[in-house]
Amino acid sequence: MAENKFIVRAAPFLKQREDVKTIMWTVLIALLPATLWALYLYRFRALSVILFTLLFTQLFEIIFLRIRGNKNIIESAFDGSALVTALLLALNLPSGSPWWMCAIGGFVAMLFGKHVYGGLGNNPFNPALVARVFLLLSFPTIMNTWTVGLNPDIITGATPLGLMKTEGLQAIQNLDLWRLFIGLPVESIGGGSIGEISELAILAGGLLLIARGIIKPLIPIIYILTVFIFTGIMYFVNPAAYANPIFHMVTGGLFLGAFFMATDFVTTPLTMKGKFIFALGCGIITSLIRLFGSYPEGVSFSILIMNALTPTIDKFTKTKKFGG
Amino acid sequence: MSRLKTFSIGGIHPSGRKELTEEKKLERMPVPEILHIPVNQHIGAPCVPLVKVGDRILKNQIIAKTENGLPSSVHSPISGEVIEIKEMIFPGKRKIHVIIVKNDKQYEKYEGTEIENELTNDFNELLKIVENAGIIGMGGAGFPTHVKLNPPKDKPVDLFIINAAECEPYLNADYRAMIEFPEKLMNGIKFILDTTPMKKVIIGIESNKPLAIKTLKEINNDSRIDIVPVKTRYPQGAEKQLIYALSKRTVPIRKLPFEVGVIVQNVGTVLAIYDAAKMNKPLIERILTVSGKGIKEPKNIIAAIGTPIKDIIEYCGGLNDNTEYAVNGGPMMGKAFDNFELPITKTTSGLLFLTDEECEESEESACIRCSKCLLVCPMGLNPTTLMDVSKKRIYELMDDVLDCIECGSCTYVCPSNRDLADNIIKGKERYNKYLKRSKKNG
Ligand code: SF4
Ligand code: SF4
Repeated sequence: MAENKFIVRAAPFLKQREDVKTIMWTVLIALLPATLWALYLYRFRALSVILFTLLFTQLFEIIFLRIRGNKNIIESAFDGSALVTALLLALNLPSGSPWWMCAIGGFVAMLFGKHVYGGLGNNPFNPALVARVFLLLSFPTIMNTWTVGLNPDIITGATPLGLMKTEGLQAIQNLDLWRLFIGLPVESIGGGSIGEISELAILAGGLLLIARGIIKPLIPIIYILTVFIFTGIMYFVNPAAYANPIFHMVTGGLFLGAFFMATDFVTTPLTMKGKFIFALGCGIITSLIRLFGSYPEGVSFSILIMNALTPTIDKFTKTKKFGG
Repeated sequence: MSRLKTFSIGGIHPSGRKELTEEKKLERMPVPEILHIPVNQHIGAPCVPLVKVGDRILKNQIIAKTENGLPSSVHSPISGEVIEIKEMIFPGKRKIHVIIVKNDKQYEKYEGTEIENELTNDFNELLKIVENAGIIGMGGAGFPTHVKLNPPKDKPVDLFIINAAECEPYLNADYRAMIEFPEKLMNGIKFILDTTPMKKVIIGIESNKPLAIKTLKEINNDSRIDIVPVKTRYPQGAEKQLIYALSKRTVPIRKLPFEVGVIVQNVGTVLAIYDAAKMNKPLIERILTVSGKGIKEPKNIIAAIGTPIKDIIEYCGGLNDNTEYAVNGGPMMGKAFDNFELPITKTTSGLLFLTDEECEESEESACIRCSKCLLVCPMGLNPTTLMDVSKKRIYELMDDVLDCIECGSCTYVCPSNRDLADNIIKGKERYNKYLKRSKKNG
């Protein structure tokens, strides 16, 4: 009996088969409805945004892994995490994003969003949002040009939230909120980032994540509920000046942010209490920006701000011990 | 069906893998030529050998004993000659003296042992019997049973819980005992009830053992005894978790079950107590499961304490070539070893021989902060943070390591394959040493 061939290591000897890769691929699948809807609305323009962003982001992931001297490049590069970042970034871009902007986005996401901090797990900010905000500040015109969906011609128009900010409440009063929820195009209204238009599609993907146990419903529910309550109170106090809270639900990046970005593991708190505070903070900041800020939309900023607070939240929220 | 009782937070559902030996009747394995009997099998100071090389010893004779701290004793399962006393290295790098006995096949009994007795009804006498029989908790920790049965006088205990959850995958030792010796188990329980101040018994059995539940229910005619199925969920058999499941009592952190009026014993321990009281038979053998795809003939066996593992492997048909792990205990909390000269002890509930297809090696990567480990920890700890502070030895933030019950649930779920439990357990050892040091230095 050759005894030395036996492996001696610590227990447990059984493992759940869900690894980082499975999780990332599940997230990608969960993003599929929103992706398909983007393709349906914007056809080749969406296809180009998505493909270029995926391609460049994955490329930069490999390059930076190499530079950092990763020994297991193939394993690390294809754990799916870069693709998740890339797809989220793509879905957060307007349909008119040129290929070079997608490339810059991928570069920023991987370098400043991820690898300067030591790679996956160590990044404090959501890489897709870092890239998006960078592009927003660098290329404000492209990043604020929205087109009407399902139209072969490029017809631009403001998003519902943008319209409200610039034209006031009456401009959006007659919008069919149900259409907005489903994500059907509305004449002369620019849809928004390609992946945020159909709340329905995002919800379908989000429910998959919840059903597969990848995320808990806590963050999306609290985030969306906070925006609902906050904007609801304002609407209740002065319906002549503030929009219906439902309008805030079905427009902008709230659903995409709440289900897919405020739930990013790495950049959100560990404990349930912490996640609650995080989501509450996101909801409040989003509402504040939308109602009183100079930007029409505040989802990206609010998540990034709460990302910055995550270490502090983690420090002050303890788990509840059994018997303690 | 009403909802099954279970513990409050955390927990996992590993595949049970009980089928390999579920149906296998207990076999009494013949005692081999040579036994390696370790002097330290319980938690506490090691027993001191009472015999020396060349001595002839008898079956059931005390061969090692300690009165220090947690007293315990070790008996010989055979008659024969002490041929050597040497140190062997057990899993966890523990060096333990082993008394090596050559079997003379006479099985000549020590005077007065293994003869039927009148059962006592005196509590103190019960404690004495249990102590003299060298009985310790056979579920894993090895806490001396007479100490556990005798909590401080100001902590009245009313509830006696029999831990028959057997929540570790693969293991069927308690299960087989329950369906093959149900009468003896029930008699043992009644006897303990009659002699101790405890008034009520709950036997907690995981719902994946319907036959055991049925068998015990059928013969139970004592209104003081309740047989309660609990949810199949790991670690249902962890003491505090089982107490909560069965009685809704929460043992305060860092306290023992008697604080909430409960004593827990496992099935094997009860059987050993009954053997000691009724037959004056010390703890010299135990029931264990030998399983895993690596062993040719998985079995449930009754084997003498001190039987070298190599003999058990031989008895079970040998190993398959693709065996990669040998584990003492269950797959969640057991310890891997590669020295088959090591013996089984009073706390060996199973020996597993696992192949590459049963447990994969996977590369560890950085924590992605998925929170899964926090969600499954049955003690409500924060394993990922505890692992980090344990590795970095940040003692100020390590206090929670003391509350870890070492169940391994965190490592089981971690998608980054981090060795959470192992690092936390090591952190616990280190932190305990640190506490001792700081106490010494005032
Ligand atoms: S091993 Fe410790 S930290 Fe990990 S789940 Fe079990 S009790 Fe919690
Ligand atoms: S389960 Fe693993 S990856 Fe997830 S938080 Fe815990 S240590 Fe990190």
